[in-house]
Amino acid sequence: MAGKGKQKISIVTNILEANDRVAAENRKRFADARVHVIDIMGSPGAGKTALLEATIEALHDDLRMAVVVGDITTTRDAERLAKKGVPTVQIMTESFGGACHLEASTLRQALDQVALDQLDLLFVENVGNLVCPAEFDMGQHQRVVVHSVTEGEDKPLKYPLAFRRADLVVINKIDLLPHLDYDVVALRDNLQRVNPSVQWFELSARSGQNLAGWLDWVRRQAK
Amino acid sequence: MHEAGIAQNIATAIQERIASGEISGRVRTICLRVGRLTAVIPDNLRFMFEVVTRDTELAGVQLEIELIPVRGHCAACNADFEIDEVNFWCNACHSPRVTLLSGQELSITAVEVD
Repeated sequence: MAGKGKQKISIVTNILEANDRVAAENRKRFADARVHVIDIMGSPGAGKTALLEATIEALHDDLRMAVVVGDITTTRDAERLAKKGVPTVQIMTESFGGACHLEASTLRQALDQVALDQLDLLFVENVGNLVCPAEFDMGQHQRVVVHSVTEGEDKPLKYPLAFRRADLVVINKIDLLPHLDYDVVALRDNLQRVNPSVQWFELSARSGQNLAGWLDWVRRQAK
Repeated sequence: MHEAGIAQNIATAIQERIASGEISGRVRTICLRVGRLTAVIPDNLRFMFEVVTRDTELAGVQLEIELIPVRGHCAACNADFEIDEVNFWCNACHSPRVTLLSGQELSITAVEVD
């Protein structure tokens, strides 16, 4: 048919089919190992690592946990978490092409370094970014967005996909509220405009304030 | 720049179909439907596609991108409506019981070959 003019071939497929296929394989591995997987997304500096540090410290007697950390160039987050005594695997996305998020295949490579069947709970700390990670399924059971009150209450409106796809939102750094003109009521309203059924916790990972609700939620997912 | 990952996924999907014989002939254009909620910037996607397909059989292939508006359906009052600002509540009765009809698409619909 070469040289016989243009021809249109219809194909109906999701662009992310290759990614979604690997995500389904990851999901099956998690099911076989009976491990629950929670993806933690959020802006740089929102407190993703601090929340994980506080969570691991509080739950390490009850649950067998591990963390996969996506970081663009450094091992700093992984070092902080490893100090808490849980297995930690670092994915430096730069070695996979400088990506700004984790995809199913990047997570799959990290999984080979984790003894999944000896875990109750695996956290995936995504790359600090509110746009890119939201698009890619990795096979995780839940997506949590960590949002800090220093970022401003308009963030759900600016990054609707991340907040809409979140199963849970953690509003972090509430110990700083007396020093900010952050409007918590407006944040709750913005959040519900984007994701009417979303659940959220308002807490401070650093001071430990209101951490109990979040910890109960994590425990319930893992059991 | 999630466009880089998306561009790579488009290239992979097409290359797999060339390898399997589902697509024969020289690919000139790939037709895409992209929902506005995906926050894909068409020019960035075209540029990243050019970068990831350089030195491959897909070098020079054009992307034809149809942008799909975000539309919702209200379970409370049955209205269908376009969501043009970030507020997923019904714009008629203000119920939050809205499901999305469109806007999250990220699909390949066809290729043009010669």
